[in-house]
Amino acid sequence: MSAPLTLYLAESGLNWFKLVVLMEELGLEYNEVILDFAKEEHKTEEYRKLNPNGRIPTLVDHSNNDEVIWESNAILKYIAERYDTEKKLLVTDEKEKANLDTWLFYQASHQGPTFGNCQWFMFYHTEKLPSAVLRFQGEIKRIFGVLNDVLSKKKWLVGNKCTIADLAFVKYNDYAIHHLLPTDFNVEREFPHLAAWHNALMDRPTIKYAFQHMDELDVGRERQHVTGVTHSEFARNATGVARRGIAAEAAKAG
Amino acid sequence: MSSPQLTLYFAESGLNYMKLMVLMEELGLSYNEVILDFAKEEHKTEEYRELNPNGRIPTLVDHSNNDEVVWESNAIMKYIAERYDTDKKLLVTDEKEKADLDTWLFYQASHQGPTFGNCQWFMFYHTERLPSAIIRFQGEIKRIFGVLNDVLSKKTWLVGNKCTIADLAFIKYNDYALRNLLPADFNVEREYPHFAAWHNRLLSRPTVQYVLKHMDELDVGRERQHVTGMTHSEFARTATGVARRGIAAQAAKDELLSTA
Repeated sequence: MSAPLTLYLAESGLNWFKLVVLMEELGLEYNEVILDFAKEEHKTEEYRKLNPNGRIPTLVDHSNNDEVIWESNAILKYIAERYDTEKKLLVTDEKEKANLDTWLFYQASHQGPTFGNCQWFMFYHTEKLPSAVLRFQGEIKRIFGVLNDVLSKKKWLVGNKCTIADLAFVKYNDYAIHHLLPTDFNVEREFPHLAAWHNALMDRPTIKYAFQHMDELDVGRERQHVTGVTHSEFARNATGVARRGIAAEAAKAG
Repeated sequence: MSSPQLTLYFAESGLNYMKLMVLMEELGLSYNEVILDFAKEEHKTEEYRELNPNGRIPTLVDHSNNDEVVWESNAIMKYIAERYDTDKKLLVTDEKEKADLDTWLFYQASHQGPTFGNCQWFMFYHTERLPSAIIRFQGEIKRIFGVLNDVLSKKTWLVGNKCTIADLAFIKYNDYALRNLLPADFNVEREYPHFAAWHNRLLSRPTVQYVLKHMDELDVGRERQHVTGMTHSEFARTATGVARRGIAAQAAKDELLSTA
């Protein structure tokens, strides 16, 4: 039986993680279509009919006339508003709903682009620009500081419980702590409330599942920027769990 | 005569408050303006950060709704529209269109704002000149113009076959990019004709013309500060003409608000 939702993603993407977590939280079934960026599958005319921005993620809802949604937080809201009928991860109070929007826009406008630019200038840019890296690392810490201040007064961002607002921040925060900030950066010491909140989120079974799943799918592509190995090259040389991941992907496509 | 129902905190050099003013003008709402002096770091005070923990502008306070505070410009945009646009003049009602509206608001917030903002940063504010960083962001601006152009080659407005808050959200950064971020010989009408037609249509709305003019009057040179290198205080000391009048008006307003 085919799943009612299809999620387009790429292993190296960071924005689809929260959608998988949400769908798992709600017990939804979904197909995954993994686009190969090396083959520019995200820039084809066919894909751009779904997502004119030519990026991932994109969602297609087969139980709703194949409705297409793009922009990860718009997808997050769509899934939650349509399928979280018990409001497990949503809020109902009008003021809290406005707060939820605020945090989703903050994640989309501040965390994502800032952390993403830090990643760009650290690993992908044509030349090494230390002052650009410092700018974005500084902004990451500033944003951590904002979250830390807010979370020093409350446990969750909105509505006194975990909501899609909290889920939206997990992947980039984890990525920043592990890859973007200096190894001697001690987040528990510098931003203890942020760290406690982040760790509480990391403990959720759906989050653990999504991380494990990303690792299995990744077949080294998330590390590509470090090793410089191309997708095709990696596929040729992969062994062990990576080889099995690639084989599983090929079998699914077959 | 009653006091305005809304207060908008912003700074002249900000780009994210313009769409909120346009929306409030479109809906005929009355609002106080509180202009924060960035040179004095008025946006980083504990008092202000109780309203907006991010310490940036804009922030909205709704006095007709228990002084509810909203921050993040597109969250404010949605709040104002959903509460006050009862005729749905600039909103949509169809469920699918509502999802599309959210998509475009998130696109503006995640792509246009930060990309164009970073281009501005590396062109005018960064500690050193980094041509390859500027080229990266200029390239992204054009890519985003291309995306909008493709979409607008098939329809007149982004959502719901009419002008909505989605279209309004894009104006100021698009205008700023065309004037200040792309090379002077860049011909947007030739490169992105559908985008240009839509942008020009928006620029000719009376509310948009009013707000752009209002921003010029308020600006007192601060938006140009990065070009001249002048500090806010220096400019205030030496300003003449309309700039001087703008500063005097601001001071008079401060006095008025402080005695209210």
